[in-house]
Amino acid sequence: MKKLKRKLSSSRLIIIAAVLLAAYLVSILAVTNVGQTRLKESQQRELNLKVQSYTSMLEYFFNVTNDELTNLSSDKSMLTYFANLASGMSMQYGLGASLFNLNRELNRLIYNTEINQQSVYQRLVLVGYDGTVIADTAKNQGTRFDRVNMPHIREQSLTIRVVKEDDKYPYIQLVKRVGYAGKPVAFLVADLNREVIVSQLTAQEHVDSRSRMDLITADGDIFIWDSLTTEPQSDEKNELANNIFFEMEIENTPFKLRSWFEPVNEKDIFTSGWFIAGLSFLAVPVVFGLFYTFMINNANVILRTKFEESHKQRRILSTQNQLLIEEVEKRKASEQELAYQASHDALTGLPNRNCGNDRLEQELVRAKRSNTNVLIMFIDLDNFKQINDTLGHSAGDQVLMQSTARLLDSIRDTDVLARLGGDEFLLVIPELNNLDSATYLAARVLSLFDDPFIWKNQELFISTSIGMSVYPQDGNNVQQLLASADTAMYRAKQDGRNAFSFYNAAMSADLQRTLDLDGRLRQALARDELEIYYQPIIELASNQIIGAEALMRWHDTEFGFISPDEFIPLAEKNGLIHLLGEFAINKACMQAAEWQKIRPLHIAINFSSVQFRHCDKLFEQINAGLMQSGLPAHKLDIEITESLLFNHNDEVVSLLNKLQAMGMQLSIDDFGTGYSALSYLQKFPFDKLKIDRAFLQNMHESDSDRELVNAIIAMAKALNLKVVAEGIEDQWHADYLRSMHCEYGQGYFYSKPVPAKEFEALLHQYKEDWCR
Amino acid sequence: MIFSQGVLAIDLQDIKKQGVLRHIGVPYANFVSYIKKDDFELLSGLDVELVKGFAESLGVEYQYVPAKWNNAIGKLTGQHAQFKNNQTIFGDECAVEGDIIANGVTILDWRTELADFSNDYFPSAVWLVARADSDLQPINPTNSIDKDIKKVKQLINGRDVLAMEHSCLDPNLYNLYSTGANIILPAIERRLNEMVPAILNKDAESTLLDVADTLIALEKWPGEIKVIGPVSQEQRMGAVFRKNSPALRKAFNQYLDDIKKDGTYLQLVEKHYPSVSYFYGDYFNNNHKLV
Repeated sequence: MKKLKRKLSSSRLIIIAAVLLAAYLVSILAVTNVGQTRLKESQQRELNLKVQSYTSMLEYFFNVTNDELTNLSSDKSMLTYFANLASGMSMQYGLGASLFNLNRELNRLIYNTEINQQSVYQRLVLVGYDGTVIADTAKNQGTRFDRVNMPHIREQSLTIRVVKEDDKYPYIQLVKRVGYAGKPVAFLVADLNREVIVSQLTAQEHVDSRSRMDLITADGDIFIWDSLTTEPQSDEKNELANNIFFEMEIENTPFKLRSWFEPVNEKDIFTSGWFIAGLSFLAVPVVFGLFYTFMINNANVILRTKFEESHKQRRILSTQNQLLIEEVEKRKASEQELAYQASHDALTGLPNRNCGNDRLEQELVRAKRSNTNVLIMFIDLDNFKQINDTLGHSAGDQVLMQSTARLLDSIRDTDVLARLGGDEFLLVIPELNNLDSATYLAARVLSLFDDPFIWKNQELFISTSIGMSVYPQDGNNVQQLLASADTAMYRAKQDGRNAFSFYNAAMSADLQRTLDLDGRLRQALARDELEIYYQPIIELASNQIIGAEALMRWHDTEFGFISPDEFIPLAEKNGLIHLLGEFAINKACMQAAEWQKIRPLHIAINFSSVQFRHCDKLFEQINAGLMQSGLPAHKLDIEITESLLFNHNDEVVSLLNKLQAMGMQLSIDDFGTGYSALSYLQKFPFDKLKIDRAFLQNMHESDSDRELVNAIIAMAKALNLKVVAEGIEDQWHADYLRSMHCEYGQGYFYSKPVPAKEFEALLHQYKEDWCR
Repeated sequence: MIFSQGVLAIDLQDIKKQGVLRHIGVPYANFVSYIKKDDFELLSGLDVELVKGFAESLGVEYQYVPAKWNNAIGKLTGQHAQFKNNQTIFGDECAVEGDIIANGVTILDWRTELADFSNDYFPSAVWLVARADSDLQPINPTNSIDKDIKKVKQLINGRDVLAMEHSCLDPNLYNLYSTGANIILPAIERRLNEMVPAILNKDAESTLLDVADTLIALEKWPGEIKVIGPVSQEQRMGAVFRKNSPALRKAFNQYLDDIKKDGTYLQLVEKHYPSVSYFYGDYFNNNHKLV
């Protein structure tokens, strides 16, 4: 296609067009020329034919005239006359009549002979051989017939000649010899009407025919017709020069017909030479036009090429630009990559030591600002070298990568995990709220490596040694903290590996204990080693046990008695609280349902706010407990702390409302010790308010404490809440509170929390005499 | 002159009453030309046309009654008559078959005694015509007709001359017997137009012939005959009527005047005798001026 385009470039096309046009013009001219030539030839032929026809017509005419004259000359009247003349008759007696007849014949011939209503003969004269006029159709006209005596006339039967008389047009005269009895006796002289001949010869001529004809004889010329010349005679020759000329003899006459015809190409503009010239001339502007087009086309081509060039260049520039951009991008990318590689470990993708240190630096700055703790953990894989040596580097790499994965999974976004090199990881945990969290986190990390690593269907067990330091306790800059952590780690290793060590030994112990307890609690729960102790709640006015608070107790074989203050938070953290709660609800309800026989007491169960994170589940548990135990709902007290209210949501509120609607009692525990708004008392449907033991402890001594208690009681009363005072340790308390119209109380004064059996005994005992 | 008593007098009124004009005609030159052969009938001539016109002017039919020179008079008047030996001989009575005779009848004295002529309407004369090869030479005319006649009479002395009695070529009319010429009268009945063929037939050397016939003969036989000269004075021709038909004759004369006036007459003459109108130019011109 391109080749074709190239071959048919625009300039070539123009050239082709020019050639074609030229050929066209030439052919037009040629055709016109040929046409003209043919036309001329045709005209020539036509004129030739015309002149020939004229000629032959004239010949015919003269023939006919000759015949007529011959007939007349041999007419009976003629013969009669001459016969009578020959016989000697006199005019008076007979000859006159013959002459009269003869005259009549002559006249009749003139009269009758017409062509196109024109008389052919103007005059007929019969002249005797001796020259005397015998008969004459034009009387009273003299004629000079001396010319009749010319010898050659006498010899010929018919003579045709042109007669020119002075002031007249020349005319044709026929002289016919008349014979009688074999001898010439007279001449019949006929003057022809010139008009007849003229009209015959001009039958096909008209003003526009542009022709001229003359009959030429030795004696003179007869002018026939002229529609050609306009000039006077003198210039005729020049004017006639360009015309078509014919000269034809008229047989049997002395005439020559000379005719001039204007050539066709002079007549009509379309056939004239000027037209051809004009046409030819027209080619010139056409050629100019073509030339101009050619120039334009060239310019166009140049322009287009330039344009294409610039376009191409622009495209090249653009591509180069693109390449440049790509290069830059690549450079940037590679720089980024280098930077990344510079700061990250290739294998695991974790930040390397330098980067890690930098990040730690950043976290320290932030922690300083926000006054939070930062936990730094050095995690060292214990038997990594061994693996590398025995199983090869690919195994080692696998272990590293999987370790990384596990670690990454368990940390938050804000935590920083870095690979320090070899088998050592750095974990930076900022925004550490308290040290307990640190312990917890460390435990979590340790547990990550409990599961084996799989490599080629082999299970590899990796243990870690973790060294931890805490900011700002164990140092306030990177080096110190890292040194502390490092030291802690060594300690861990010295302790026997697969261990952790805080820089602060106590923290280590704590962490250990926490870890241990975690496991043991699960076991205890599974083995049903937990117990519910009950502390009686006394109605102060009647001094009767009207209820009991269920409290969980755990005696571990190894660790001994573990305070609920320790294991409850632990349960809350590891999620066991729900199971504990369920256990507590079921056990307490069952027990209380049993004791209803003895005394219709309430049972109060403490609920952690963590339990209220799953309201539906909690409701199920409570409901199930009640159903299974058969305990009436109004005998159940739900004790919740202020912290729940602080973090409440609509679900919690609706659950509380539901529970209350079922008949359960709601108590707010530890009132006044945390963040609580008094508005909560209104907002939530509480029935009871429990004053914390802390308020009771110094009531004796501190007026303000006492006033507080008073205020609380008053407020509770005002809000229609029953008050339960916790921590009654002596009579004074009991009396005072009673005096203050506090309804209920519980404390060591009455009894410490005891197991179910003992409580039952108490019930029986107090049933009988609980009046002191 | 004895008129038959039994002849009914038929005049103009009667003819008008009858509604037909009977034209007695003898074929002669261009006056009357009558050919009848089997079913073919051709009737033409100057007099035919004249009488036809006359009949038309009267408002009656035209009827042609063919006749011969020797019975024409009888058919008109009811009694035959002949002119023989210079005297009128009456013949038998016969029926009147016509009312007018018109066929170039020359007004002759003996005829006027038998019937009445109309006004003349044609000139005539009698000439002597000879064969061209006869040694009789045409006379050089003098201004006097008498002298010319005399010359001619001198010439025919001892020559054969054909004549015909009872017609205008009757030699007695012109005293030809006294010329010493050998007058040959045709043995059998001849028609006037057989005179020339007779001399051509060498029955005679020359013949009397009236001008009309002569002119026709000259055209018919150019170069075979020649006119020698006059034999008679100028004569006249007219139509013949019964003496007891004056009204008819009067009517005809009136008719003649009319057609002479309006040029019809001249037309007729020129039609049938073109050369004669020239020849007797005066006669015809004068006739013109009759208005």
